[in-house]
Amino acid sequence: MSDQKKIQRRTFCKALGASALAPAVLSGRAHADIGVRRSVRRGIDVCEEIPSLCDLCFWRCGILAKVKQGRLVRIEGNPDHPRNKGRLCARGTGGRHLVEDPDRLRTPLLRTGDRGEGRWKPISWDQALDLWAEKMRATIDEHGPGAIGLFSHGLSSRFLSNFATHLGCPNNSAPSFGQCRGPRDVGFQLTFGDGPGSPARHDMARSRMIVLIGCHIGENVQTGQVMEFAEALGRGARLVVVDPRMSVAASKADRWLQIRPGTDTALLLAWIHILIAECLYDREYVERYTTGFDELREAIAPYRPEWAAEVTQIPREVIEAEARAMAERKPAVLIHCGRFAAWYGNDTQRARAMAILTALLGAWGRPGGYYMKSDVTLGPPPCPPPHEGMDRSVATGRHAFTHFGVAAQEIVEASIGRGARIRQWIFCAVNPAHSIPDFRRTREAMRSLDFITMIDMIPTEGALWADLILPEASYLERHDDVLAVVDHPRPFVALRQPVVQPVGQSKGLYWIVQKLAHRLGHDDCFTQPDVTGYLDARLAPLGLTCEQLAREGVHLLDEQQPFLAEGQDFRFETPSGRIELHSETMKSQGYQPLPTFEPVEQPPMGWFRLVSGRSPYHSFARTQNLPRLMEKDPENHLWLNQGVAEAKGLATGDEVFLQNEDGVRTGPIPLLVTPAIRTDVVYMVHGYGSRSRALGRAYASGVSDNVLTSRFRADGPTGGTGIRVNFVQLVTRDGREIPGEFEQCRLQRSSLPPVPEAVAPVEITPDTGAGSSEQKQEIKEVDDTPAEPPADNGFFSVKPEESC
Amino acid sequence: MARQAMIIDMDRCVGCGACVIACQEEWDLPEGVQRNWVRPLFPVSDHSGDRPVFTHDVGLCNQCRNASCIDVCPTGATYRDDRGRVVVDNETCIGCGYCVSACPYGARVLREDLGRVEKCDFCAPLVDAGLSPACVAACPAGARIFGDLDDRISEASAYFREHALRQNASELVNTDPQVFYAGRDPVVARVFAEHPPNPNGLKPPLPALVFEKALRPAFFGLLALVITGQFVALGRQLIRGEAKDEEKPHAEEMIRRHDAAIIALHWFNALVWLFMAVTGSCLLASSVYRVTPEIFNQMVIETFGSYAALLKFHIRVGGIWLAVLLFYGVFGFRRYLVPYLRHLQIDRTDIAWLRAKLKRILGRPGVALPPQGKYNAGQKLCGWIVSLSTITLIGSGLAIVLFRGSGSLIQWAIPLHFAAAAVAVVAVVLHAFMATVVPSERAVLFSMFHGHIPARYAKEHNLRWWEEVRDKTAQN
Repeated sequence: MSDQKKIQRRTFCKALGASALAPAVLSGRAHADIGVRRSVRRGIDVCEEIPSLCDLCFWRCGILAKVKQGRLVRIEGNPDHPRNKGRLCARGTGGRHLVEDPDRLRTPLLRTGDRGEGRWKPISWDQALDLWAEKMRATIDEHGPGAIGLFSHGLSSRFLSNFATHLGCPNNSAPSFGQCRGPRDVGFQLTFGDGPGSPARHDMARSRMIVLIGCHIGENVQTGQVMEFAEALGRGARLVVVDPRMSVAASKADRWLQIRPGTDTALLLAWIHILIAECLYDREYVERYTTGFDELREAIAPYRPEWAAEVTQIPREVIEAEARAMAERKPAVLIHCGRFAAWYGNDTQRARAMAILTALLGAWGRPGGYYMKSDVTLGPPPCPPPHEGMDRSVATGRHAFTHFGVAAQEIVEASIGRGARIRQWIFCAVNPAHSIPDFRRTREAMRSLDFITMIDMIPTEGALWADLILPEASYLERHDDVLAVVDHPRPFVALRQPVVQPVGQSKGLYWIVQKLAHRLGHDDCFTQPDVTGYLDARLAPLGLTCEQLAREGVHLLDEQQPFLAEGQDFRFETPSGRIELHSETMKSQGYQPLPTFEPVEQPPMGWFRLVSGRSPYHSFARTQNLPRLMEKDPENHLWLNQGVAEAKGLATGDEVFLQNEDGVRTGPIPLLVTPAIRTDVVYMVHGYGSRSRALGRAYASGVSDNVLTSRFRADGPTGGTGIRVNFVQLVTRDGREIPGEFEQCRLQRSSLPPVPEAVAPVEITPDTGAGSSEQKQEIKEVDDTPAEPPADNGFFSVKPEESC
Repeated sequence: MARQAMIIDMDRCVGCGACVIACQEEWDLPEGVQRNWVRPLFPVSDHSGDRPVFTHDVGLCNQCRNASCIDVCPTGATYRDDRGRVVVDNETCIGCGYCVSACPYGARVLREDLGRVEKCDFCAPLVDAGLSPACVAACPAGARIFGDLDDRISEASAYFREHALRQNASELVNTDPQVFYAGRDPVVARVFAEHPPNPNGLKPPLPALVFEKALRPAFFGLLALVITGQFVALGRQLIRGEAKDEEKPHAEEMIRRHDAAIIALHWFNALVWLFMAVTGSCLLASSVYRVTPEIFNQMVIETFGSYAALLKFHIRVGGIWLAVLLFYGVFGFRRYLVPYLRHLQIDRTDIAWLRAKLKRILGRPGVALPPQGKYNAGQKLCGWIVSLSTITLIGSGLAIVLFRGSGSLIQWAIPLHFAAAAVAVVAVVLHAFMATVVPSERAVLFSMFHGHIPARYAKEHNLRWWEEVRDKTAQN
């Protein structure tokens, strides 16, 4: 019966009623019968069903696209896809309207006005590609491949980044790394020899305890993650949420730790301290799999819970109780690694602390914690490796673990001025106005570049600055590279394929980059005539063809080893082959080998730390032009503490302006007054406030947090841009501060106690990175009166030898 | 009978809105129209000192067992189906919006683009095809459990038995919702507090109340009064011996009273009135508005095949009627319309006649009636009533059929349509009774077949007209 049900769900197609959304009826079908599972006749309705993959977030859920007479009428979840099992979030379902978005880019465009002005004229693909190839050749011939800067995002951009690598250009900055999960991935990789994966290999459904640190599942929605989260809660898992604001998850939590922003590492270190001091860690696991425990035990000694309590402003008893709760439930404890991790510039160390805590709980490779990565072997990428090595002239050498080429800010800085090293940029599905901090510097760079090419589906702010705009087919209209999923207990491959004809003259990226490569004379790249041929070659090692995968949508592979067996020996992919609690790799690159707490500046009185998050209806700044989603969440609000609001005479719905330390002012934004946020923080949802008039719905709706992010603090190891270091004031339209504060404001901004120094840190000056470090000096130090020195020089509350 | 129900577990729900978008997409709803909703309830202080709650107002049609929206529907488009769902028949919904005001939860929306109401029906077409409702299928959190509570082995009934569930009802408003909420107390309490059932929702809107409480009883009262009056009058005539059929001389002098076109129109009108009165009364499906016995309604509906077909016929015949009347009015403007209006003019003798007639009715048979024109004041009055009713009926009918949108126009058009029909029906009943049952009026009845009336009758009843005709003939 359930099988039959599944089939019916797939094949059901409603009769279309009259729609107020004037549908652009697409003529003909996307392609020959590839991918069409079955045609179903229901009354007069004929509906085709094509399996594909969503592209509205990194989860890449399986979708079933229902197509009637060439028109996409519905997107549903694909029950065969292991990540979403037929379910689908608001964005995935509402993404259908991307096909009918009247603002979509339809033809290649050439800039006619000034940069930033947004005036273009349509040109043909031949003209566009000839121009692009000519500019590329000129830059490479004159300045070398290192003079190209690439900002790319998503599965399809792999075709372009792979070609850039082939050219010898390493300046490929993915915001998904440096502005998002880079520090997290590196922190885990240094510890376990392997990152946590994307999506992370959380075995959340089976967790007995989930610890979310600044992670707001619920407002931040990935279908599969919410499925597992709800399942775990349904099974009675203990939930602890660490967040200065009450998120949806925090409201469901058994314990909500309203932490002082920027002190998460202190909390983690205290938890590690308690686990070791009270001998609550998984001794067998630590002995069998880890190295550097003794160094850790020694280094962690000063980070006592009472110190952490003062730093984090979470009561000591609570910190201790939760550490013990973890120990009781180990190893099925998930220290959720989060995703967006570029917070304060000390983020790799925070990720290391999370990884170490996970290791002490024995939760890596264990049910309820993290499972292990699988392997999938695919055919070769479209381009061979570079002939003459990479041109590394732009990298500053400040960041040893910048996986994807060069940090974004390094590319920006190397592009400013007449003699700039970088002369040409390519944006591929990246909107610099919302993803790269300090847009003023980005703008300066864009003013001085020789040429800017933008590949996108919609005319974002980036398009306003581009010289050449190339229309990319949407994820519903193109093939992408094979999605090979290794971060799942059961590895699988899945295919994104066109379900309708591309809008206008838009093209898939394989076609675009192939045409560029051949114009540049790189005939050894993109040798397959079209993308399906390439996909055939890519899938060949698995014994699959593009056509077969197109029909199946998802192809499950054999299960490998998601979990460590009891007493099994295992070689991790670290230099030592063990889980490295103490990282020699970090040390050798000049970073602290064990996580340390670096205090971050506290906002002065009258200033608030600006923190941003997600709406379940939006992905970054990409979905604000979609009618269904924008209707549900048309603008963002500013969360403000109730006491502060009362002192300022403000109430929910009042509109204020925001101004940061560098005088950047934006607004108006309506207030959301709540007791459930700290007095030193304001919060808003990221992605709003588009300045591109070419986007009918998105333009000027809500406020952009990135505009206010004029400062960042670069993470040493990764170059990730910590963007939670900006402070804002609430001001009136003309910039006057709205006065008012109360006792708690001062209490919550109290100075941090000094970092205990019982054990001298390794003689290394941690790299605080590039970025706007000079500007930072302008902020007045509030914490200039040091607190009491630590009572003793920090030894364990309980001697480890005595308890263990 | 099945009892389909939904359970929403607020401890699982994260408020992601997947259910809302899935529903809008499944039913292709335009912007601004939703069958279900998820609205964030941000953490605010309730000054109780308890930890605030961040949850969502999550809801859909409650498919109440004591639904207040069913009875208020004049056409019966809203009904409970055999699986316990409250559903709307799109073909028979006229978009009056009574049910929209009558829902305590605001779960119904008027589709101004289609002139009908939109509501959640637990995705009846999908469920009947063996699928889950769209919101249930989409929900990433698995917070929605749907099924038949009467089916002991369904997931929903198991959940129903095992969990403490609550309905969003109050002491004032308890319609027995079939959407149940699970979850921690403060969370569910917050959801209910932010979306309490509106007691005003139980009350039908004013036009519907006027219909139900005033017009319908008034119609019955008036009809009873008129019929009783007629029988009393007839009885009195019989007792007094006035009712004897007059002797008819064989070769009586006849004068022409109606021409063929008028006779045709009269009988066409008679048919239309009969048809419209019967079909119209059968269209009043709800028990609070019904005027004819249900069994009679069912018979008529079955004759036409379905309610929707009956409604269609009613509207079509109304259209034909309007067309015929317009045809007469335009092409027979001089010949028929102007004389008709002139005949309806009420003058001083009409007042005197009415006064005398009233005295006769009140028991003074000896009072003499003043001489009358072609029509007496009673007939004129009847003509006025029927003419004005006709205009009102057609006007309000057009408003109901053509107007798409919310507001009082269509809401008042319904009781107005009924009131006009009721008054006209009473007048026509009176008219038909007099023509067919009262023996002394037979001559008038026959004149509606052959167009002529005995001169003797005209002289007696319409002296002034008789003189007019005589003078005209004399001139010729």
